[in-house]
Amino acid sequence: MNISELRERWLSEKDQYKEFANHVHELIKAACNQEGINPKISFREKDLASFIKKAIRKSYKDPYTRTVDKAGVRVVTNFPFELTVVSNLIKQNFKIHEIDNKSERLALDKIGYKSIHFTVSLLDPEKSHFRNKKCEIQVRTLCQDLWSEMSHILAYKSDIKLPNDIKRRIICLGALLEVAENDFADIESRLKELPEFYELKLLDLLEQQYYQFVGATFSKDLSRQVLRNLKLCLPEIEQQAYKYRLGEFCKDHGSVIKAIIAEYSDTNPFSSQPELLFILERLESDRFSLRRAWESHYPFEYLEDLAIAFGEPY
Amino acid sequence: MRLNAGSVSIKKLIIHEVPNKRGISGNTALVLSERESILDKDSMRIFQEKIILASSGAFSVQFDETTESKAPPLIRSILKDKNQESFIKYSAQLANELYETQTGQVSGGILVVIAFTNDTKNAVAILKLEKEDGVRLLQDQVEGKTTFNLDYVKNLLITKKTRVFKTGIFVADKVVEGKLEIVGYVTDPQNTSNTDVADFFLAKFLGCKLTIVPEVATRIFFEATNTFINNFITEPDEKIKAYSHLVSELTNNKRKISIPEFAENYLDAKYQQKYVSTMKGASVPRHIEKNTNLIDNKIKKITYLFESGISLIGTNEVLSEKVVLKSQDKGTTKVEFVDKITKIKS
Repeated sequence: MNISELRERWLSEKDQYKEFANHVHELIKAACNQEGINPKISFREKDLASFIKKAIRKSYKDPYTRTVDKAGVRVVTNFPFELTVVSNLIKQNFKIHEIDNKSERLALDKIGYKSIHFTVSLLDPEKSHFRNKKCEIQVRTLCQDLWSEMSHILAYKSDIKLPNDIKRRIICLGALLEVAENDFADIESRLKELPEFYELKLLDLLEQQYYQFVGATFSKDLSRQVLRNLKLCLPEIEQQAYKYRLGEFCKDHGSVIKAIIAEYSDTNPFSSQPELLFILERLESDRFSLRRAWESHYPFEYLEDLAIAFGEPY
Repeated sequence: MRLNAGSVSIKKLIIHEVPNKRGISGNTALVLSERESILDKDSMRIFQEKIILASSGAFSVQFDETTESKAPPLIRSILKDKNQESFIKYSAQLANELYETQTGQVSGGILVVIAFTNDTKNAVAILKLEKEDGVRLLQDQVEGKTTFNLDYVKNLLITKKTRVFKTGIFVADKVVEGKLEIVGYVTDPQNTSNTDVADFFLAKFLGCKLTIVPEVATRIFFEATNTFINNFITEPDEKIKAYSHLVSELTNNKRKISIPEFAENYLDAKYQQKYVSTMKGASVPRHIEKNTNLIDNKIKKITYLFESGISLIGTNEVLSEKVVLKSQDKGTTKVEFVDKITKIKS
């Protein structure tokens, strides 16, 4: 295939690849939501100029087939630990043709491009024109992405011959970003050990949903106390994905939540607080743990009222 | 069918007094309301809660085609009556049916008929309650001093804590071949050892029968719970304990089995929610009228006692499969079986 044929073919097919890349992006986004992580995910079909330049540079016999990143998705995570989470999600949700972990190829004393590249296709293509199509998924952290983008902008990998001092400065910046990334991760772990971190984070999630149902203030002190007393109802293993679970719960049970807030606000002190959503969600997911935690702190009749109103009496 | 504060909306409520006309003392005359009761917000909520509470502890029922009760067509009429224009008339006919069918052993009471909607579906709740007398507290000031006075209250019908009462709930479902399909639930079909009384509300008055017969429901419960124990409880000691509780639950004197209560009373905390969810997923009825006829050979134990003091204990099923008994001379029996020893106790 000559360059002209390559160009013509790509112009006629690129919209299909854009649609395909979007589909892959939606699948990854949904999977990440369910896991409770929120990376930035972007997608693109390969740029025509970039396609042609690569075909010329690499002198492929069949550049069209050999170019596996005609559809591309990039996943940029906040923390290094999320790289493993996303990698596992990709392995669970796609057929893997190749994995190229650029980090593993870097020597210990080298700073350079770090990213994990997956070449994938769909496990179960809905549309016929998605069959046999491959997508390249790049997974990297925010800091790795910044370094990659900046060094690209600064033409680090281009044919320009950079003076050594500039090269060294770019390398130092890469090292600095790696240190920053590790520090951010460490700070995040330390924060999780602080008293009230869990309750405040949970309250933040609950508030985001609460204002869908109520346009009024609530007692933050009561919320913090209740969540501190009931937090053992939510096992650690479920905490990461709780945002997604809570969102789905509120979507599915909107009418009963509204009814409880409207009808019980004068008789039940928990009914006009954000922790109501936590209580109701736990009633559905683990009523036994909820009751055990509850009875150590509050009169059971308050929980019983909410359970009856929710349709899950004890 | 899930009822909750968001889905249940009471439209009309009417009360009739239905004494036992064969009663030996007191008023025996039927007193029919001629108009619906007026409910304040708090009363509305109490009845809404009672409907929700009743539905969660109820047994699935269907109309019995062989019944002589007039209740099924009346219930059907109430459900089809779009604006409940004939609600008072139908409820009075239900009260009459209750009045005529109550035998001497059945106590009279109050019939409450509630027309409500569950989401958008027409529904009706039929409650039989008993009047009670009680005492309420009134805070007062006497000669400048705070005190609590007591006020005797007659005709107390329902309190927040009232849990057990006879309720039938019927919800209009879809129309199939021109006929309205109705989903029915009744609480406490048998809460007494007197079967005439026990059968009265479900069968004689409401003209219903249990959708799943007790023998089948009990077998479903046993098999599903056994499967759960084998598949999800990993520690051998806990497995044995859970199975032992299962057999105990099936062989004790209790008439009913409740899935949530079984979980809470007999399973380790880490398995409770998983068990309830698994039973729900397997469509095991939440409450079961117990009858072990179909599983007796799996749960009831037989003991062979020997003159030497040796005992052989096992369920009928296992003993039949594994043990061979051969008659010998002089009235003795040879017992043969091959098995692994799991424990030796003294």
